[in-house]
Amino acid sequence: MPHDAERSTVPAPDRVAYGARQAQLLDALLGGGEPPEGFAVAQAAASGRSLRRKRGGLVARALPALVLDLGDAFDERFDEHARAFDAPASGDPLEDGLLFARAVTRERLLGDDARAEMLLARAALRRRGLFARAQWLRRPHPRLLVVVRLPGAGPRHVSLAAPWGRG
Amino acid sequence: MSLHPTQSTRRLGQGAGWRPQLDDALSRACGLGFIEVVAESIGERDLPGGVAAALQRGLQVVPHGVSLSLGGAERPDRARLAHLASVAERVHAPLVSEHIAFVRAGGRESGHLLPVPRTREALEILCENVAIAQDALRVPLALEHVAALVEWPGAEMDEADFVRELIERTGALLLLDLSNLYANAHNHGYDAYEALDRYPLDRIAYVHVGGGVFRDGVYHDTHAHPVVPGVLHLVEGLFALTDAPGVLLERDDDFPPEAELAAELAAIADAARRGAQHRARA
Repeated sequence: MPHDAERSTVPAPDRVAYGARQAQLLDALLGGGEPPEGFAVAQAAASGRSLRRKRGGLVARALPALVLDLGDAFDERFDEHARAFDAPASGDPLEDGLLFARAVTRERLLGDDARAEMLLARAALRRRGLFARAQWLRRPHPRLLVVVRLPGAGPRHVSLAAPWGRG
Repeated sequence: MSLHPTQSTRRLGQGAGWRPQLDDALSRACGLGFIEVVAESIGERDLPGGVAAALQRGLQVVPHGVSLSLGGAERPDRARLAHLASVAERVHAPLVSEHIAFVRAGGRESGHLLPVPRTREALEILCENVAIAQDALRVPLALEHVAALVEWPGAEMDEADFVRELIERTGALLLLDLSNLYANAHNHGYDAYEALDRYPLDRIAYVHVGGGVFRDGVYHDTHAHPVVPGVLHLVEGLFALTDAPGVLLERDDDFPPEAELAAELAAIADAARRGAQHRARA
């Protein structure tokens, strides 16, 4: 093997130090901070933004009503969230989006469509046991949205119009 | 040293990345020889209906791993390898593929394929990790180079030479991604055609082609946009040099209507055909 001699001159790799350098880069990319020494700052910033935008795109597809609710603010608001919090271990955009939506609701009220979407997402993510929740919604008309998930079945929802209805 | 299977004996033809959202369109696509499935998206038991149906139609199925982190500091995880091997067995795969990248470090999952430093040290670690993966697999492993906006400082070789040495030393096959080559050449300012010639083209298992978009002068390999003309030119350029065993379209988001997908597949096939004609004349 022509490479054996060549290989023997290479010192055994230091996996710990190698991993530490990768972790430093990863922290900078995900958190939006300064990259480790030697990296081009603009390149690292563009790369980090691109990774977070890709994650935001998946969330946007999973929770479209939330994105409509936030409008132009979604991109910046999600980027801020992504810099502070990693995606959930499951990698599921629905779970990621729900965590983001909960953070948003701590700052402002969401519209009815986004709240309904969050409730359905919570039901979809409940893997075992019974899920049953209800939420009053006002638009386009006052109604009670009831979402149920039975073990082994997908989420079901029913919308009950308020008796004082569309007056 | 154990003997790893290094040859993929079967020709693959034209392929497409199978995604649930593309299932209908791909089930009707003409001339497909193979599909690629993301191994981590396949459960422990049943295959997705569309994948099982593709097998029944006689298509070959290649499992594509995205989480082994072969370029990471940790050795590849046994459970992840066992899953990849199990998927390969269940789809009667002629080979499997993974990336020359790391996806986790310091206990954090990136959710993305990140580049490795192009150094001798990284090459040593990759060779060890790839050997561990090959030992756990019963079919050949093809390695794909990734698109990266950020480059590690202190590179000791360029990407083509790095990949060539990795492929030579591990006996792995090459999954040549022409969109990644296009992206890196554009974003880091080198000539894609000059680099193309230095990849180990005789070790190609198949080729990836995906769409992307330019934003502020930077090319992003999104797999959510149409294939740009520059990448189709590279397909032509590659087939002018060699007859690659397969070429596959990757589309992962913003899924196009069926006719648009068919047109993209046809454009790739046309580019490969034009390249082959240049080669025949040469």
